[in-house]
Amino acid sequence: MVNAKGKTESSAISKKKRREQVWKRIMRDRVLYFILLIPIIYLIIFKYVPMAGNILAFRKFKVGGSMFGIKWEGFKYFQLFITDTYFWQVFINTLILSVLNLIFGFPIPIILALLLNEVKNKTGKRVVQTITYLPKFLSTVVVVSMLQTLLSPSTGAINMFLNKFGIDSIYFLNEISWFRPVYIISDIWQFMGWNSILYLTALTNVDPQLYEAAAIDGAGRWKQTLYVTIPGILPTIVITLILSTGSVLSVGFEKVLLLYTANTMEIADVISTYTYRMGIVNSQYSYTTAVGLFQGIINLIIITVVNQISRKTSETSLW
Amino acid sequence: MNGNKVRISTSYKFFQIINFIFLAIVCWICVYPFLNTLASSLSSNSYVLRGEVGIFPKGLNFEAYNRIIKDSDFYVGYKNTLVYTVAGTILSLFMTTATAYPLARKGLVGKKYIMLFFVFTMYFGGGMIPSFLLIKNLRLMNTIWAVTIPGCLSVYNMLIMRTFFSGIPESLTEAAKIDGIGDFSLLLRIILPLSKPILATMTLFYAVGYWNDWFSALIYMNDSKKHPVTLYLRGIVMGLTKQAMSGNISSTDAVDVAGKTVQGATVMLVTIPILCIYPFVQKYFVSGVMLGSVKE
Amino acid sequence: MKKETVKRLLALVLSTSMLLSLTACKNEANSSAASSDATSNNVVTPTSADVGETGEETAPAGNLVSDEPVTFTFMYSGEYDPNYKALAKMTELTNVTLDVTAIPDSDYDTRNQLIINTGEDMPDLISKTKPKAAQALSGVLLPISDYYDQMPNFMKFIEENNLQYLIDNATQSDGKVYELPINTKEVKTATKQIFIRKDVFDDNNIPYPVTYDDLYEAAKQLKEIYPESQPIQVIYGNGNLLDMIAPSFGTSGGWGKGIDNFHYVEETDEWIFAPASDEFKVMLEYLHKLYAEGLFNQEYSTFSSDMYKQMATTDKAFVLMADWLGCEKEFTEALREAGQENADWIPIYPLEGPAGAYLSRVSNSSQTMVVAASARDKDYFPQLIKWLDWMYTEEGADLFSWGVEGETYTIDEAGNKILNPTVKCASQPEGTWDIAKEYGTSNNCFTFVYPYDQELATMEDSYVDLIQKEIENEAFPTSEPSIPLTEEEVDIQSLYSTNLNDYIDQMIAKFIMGGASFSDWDNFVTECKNKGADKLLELYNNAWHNMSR
Repeated sequence: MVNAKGKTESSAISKKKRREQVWKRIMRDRVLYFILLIPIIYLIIFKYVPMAGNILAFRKFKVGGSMFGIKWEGFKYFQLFITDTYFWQVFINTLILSVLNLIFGFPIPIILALLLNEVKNKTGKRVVQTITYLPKFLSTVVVVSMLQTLLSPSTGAINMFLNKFGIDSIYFLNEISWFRPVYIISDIWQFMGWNSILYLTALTNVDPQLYEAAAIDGAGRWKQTLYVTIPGILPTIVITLILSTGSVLSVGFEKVLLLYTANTMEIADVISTYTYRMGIVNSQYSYTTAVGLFQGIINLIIITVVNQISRKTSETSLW
Repeated sequence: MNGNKVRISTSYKFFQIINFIFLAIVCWICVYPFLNTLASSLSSNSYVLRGEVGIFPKGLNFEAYNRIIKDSDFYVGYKNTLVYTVAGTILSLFMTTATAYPLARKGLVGKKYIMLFFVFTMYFGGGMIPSFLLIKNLRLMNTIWAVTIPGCLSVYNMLIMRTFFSGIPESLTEAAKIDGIGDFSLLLRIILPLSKPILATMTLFYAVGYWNDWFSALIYMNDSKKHPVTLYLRGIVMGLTKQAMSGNISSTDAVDVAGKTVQGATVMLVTIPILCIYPFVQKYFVSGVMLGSVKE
Repeated sequence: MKKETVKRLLALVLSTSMLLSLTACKNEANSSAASSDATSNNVVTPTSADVGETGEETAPAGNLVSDEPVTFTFMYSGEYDPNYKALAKMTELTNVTLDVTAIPDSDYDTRNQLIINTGEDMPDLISKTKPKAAQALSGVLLPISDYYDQMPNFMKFIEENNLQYLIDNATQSDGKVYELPINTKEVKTATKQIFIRKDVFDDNNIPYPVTYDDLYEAAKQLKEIYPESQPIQVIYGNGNLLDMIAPSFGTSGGWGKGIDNFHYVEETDEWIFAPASDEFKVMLEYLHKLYAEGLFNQEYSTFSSDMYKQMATTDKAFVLMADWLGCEKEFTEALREAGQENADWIPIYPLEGPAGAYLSRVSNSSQTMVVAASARDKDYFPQLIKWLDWMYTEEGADLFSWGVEGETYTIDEAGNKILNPTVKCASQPEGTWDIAKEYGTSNNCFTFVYPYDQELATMEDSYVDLIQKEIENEAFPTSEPSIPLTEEEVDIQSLYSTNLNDYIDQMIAKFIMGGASFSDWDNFVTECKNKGADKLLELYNNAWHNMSR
């Protein structure tokens, strides 16, 4: 409707206005920026400065030499693992293990929190909460040792139980098809209590008045859960989910290392354990840095995509 | 906690029974290893070796605990852990709040970029060597700061805290602003008192994090008198496993392995105190703290 | 209101403490320097009267190390007590004090690799470290061999005990040596043995096995008598198992394997690829036989040490293939306390395989240490070399093994050393105090030399005969030599090493446990070649023959 000249004019004016508005908002929030200053400085010094060390992925590392490497090698180290077929096998293993862990492991703490929420007895609730997060404090070494004892074909409790029903003993730890279930189930067991704490906190934020309103509307407990509780903690769930997808390529190192056997290695080996074994041969920091960089980039891409999806479909997103 | 005036249906009662049974089972599988470790630590070695100890000690004796109690390294380590945990947690609470609060403000200019700035660090780090060199060059080696500062801001925790702050109704902020209260006072006087649950959660998360952190001390503390007790524990429990994995066991090592009883005692002594934080923190998990402050 | 004050106070405290820390750092640096000066100043310079010798001609060796008090920085693995009496005595004798950084055993490698790889601010002496080729050649470590001419005692020790091979093995591709052997035994011994349940064998009239075939027969009998048992057990899986039995089959494997599973054949001065050899196949076939007939622990690769010990203490296992002397005491005691009064685990003489009766491969020196190149620039460097040399003298060696004369041991008329009867050790279980804890003797870091007489004196009587017989019959084969590689060679090695070794480990497990059949053996060999076995063979043989010897 406005001619070309008029449009530019008004957009020029509005640009200036916008800039003024922006500046006004910054000034209004200036205290906030001031508060943010210390963490930002901390971040720069303690996180971004060491990040410069990643340049080692492109340069040759020499023992005792500069941390930035001594010679530019370009993509040599990236080529080393990109052309390594075994690396991609390990990459797929890592992805599958993480995704399965996510699918099965993510909902459990939420369910646990919801179930705990239904417990009326306050003391009972506290006791259960405290007990369920105990396993998190066991070190990985201890957990693996426990698994070995529990799953032993000859003396383990699980197999003795199965035998009673006439089922033959299964050598869980040595069977390819059982590695992932064992890993994931033990992870769930170990961390479900701890992970549910977050959701329990979120539950305290749900307005009891909403429950009362729903009850008055005739909703039973189940409907209340569906329409009040879950929407109430949905932001927390979504944020946690997004964050979890961002660590998909970084699945646990110590546990896999202790749990895999020669037999299960084909599917149990993950990026971190493979890189570890490769790194033993020579202190090949350039190689491990390159792999680390690669993992970081992929993780970032994944989390960005997931974040975008979340932004479009729900109101919650990281950014 | 909720719906106390609602009529309880039969199916709900049934559900509660099932729930109870389910939770009891969950509790059992979570607590069993600890009962077993506790029992082992109080049993005589021979029963433990034979695998005859369940949840009750056999051949009750306190030898394992005596051994540890006589070891001065244990006390020194304990003191260090306490100091690092308390200092670290306070520092972390400060840092995390200082980050989460501004980033929770709607309409903050540049928020997206600042967020990215923080989130980016979750995926890219420098690794052990650059961090080590940094601490060295900052002359923080062998000080308490080396084990508290590097980890004092967990972006993950910060994001969670930010989500919580975002959930606080905007109307509250606006009402305060109308009253002429500045952002800083707003934070201290209004927001934080309402944020007890999340502060409690963060305290728990960070305290546990610092308590369990043995790696920082391994890398940055030259003086073994500054090592936390978790590193000491690791030496006792892990000592041989690591070496076995690389075939690096020498004759003197093998015979010196701490028996399971001593391992169990150390685990108990190191783990139980941190578990005790939760009950203190739990009382803040009370809902309805925020309500009634603003009429919607 | 209250919260606000608390928060403000917190902010104040935080900012003040941050400021303080910056100053404190400086102060700490100053004070630690001051205290180390203080300790060295407190050391009494021994007069000739103290040391007990008279006359200038026979000035005691100790005095030659340093005229003035010096302190070296030392990185130490394991438990440490600055009040170790042997250290105090050492300072008295040599004027040397050690400024020790003690790191727990379990994670020592992480720390020392970090220090060496960054090369910054290294302690003068780093214990329990085997330098990799890249590290040695990088210049952060001191080439000790350049100073051998200043270490006459060390060279004498090497020569007297025929330990030249230690130096040869430690030589890098540039012809220099960057490490020093510690925990060095004058006579090669090892405490990893084979154990059997004496009472069970006796009760059932089964003769103690002498060969591996005997073992098979005995195990079969045991299995018939005790169907619930798995007579043969091993801890720590294939690494330990193969380490133990491979030498008796004429090859090496597991922890004792040569570089990347290559085996050095002395007769031909060549390296061969061990897993492809007939000897290796015979060994795996034997193990498979044991496993398939249920005579060998079916779960040994996933066995936790808890379960292993349980088997050993509950009549489920009767032969332990590879455990360390001393373990059997615990097991015997547990069995006896459970009511089996005659239970008795004893070590037996190594079993004979096709190649002879051997235990696992050992070296005279089970650990090595390195010196930082930066030590060379320090004022006290000559004293450092002298001190290192002194540690290999009889005086130095005795101090950290026997202890202090008059306190932990005495010398009789014949010149033999007698251990103080109140010291608690394997040979004197009624002893009351632990010499290692109080004196700092017999640990992996300060014990540069592990004298044979001390080993015998502290060893339990029942073992002495066994060990001596093993020494007589040369049942301790030497560990595989190491091949010094240049950087380019390491690059080639790293292309194949991990994948090849992974494959070999997997196949070994499959062959033993039945997942792969021996009719596929040729395929296995071919696949190894595909994974680079031939290329590595060439690489290693070339590197070996090109070594400047």
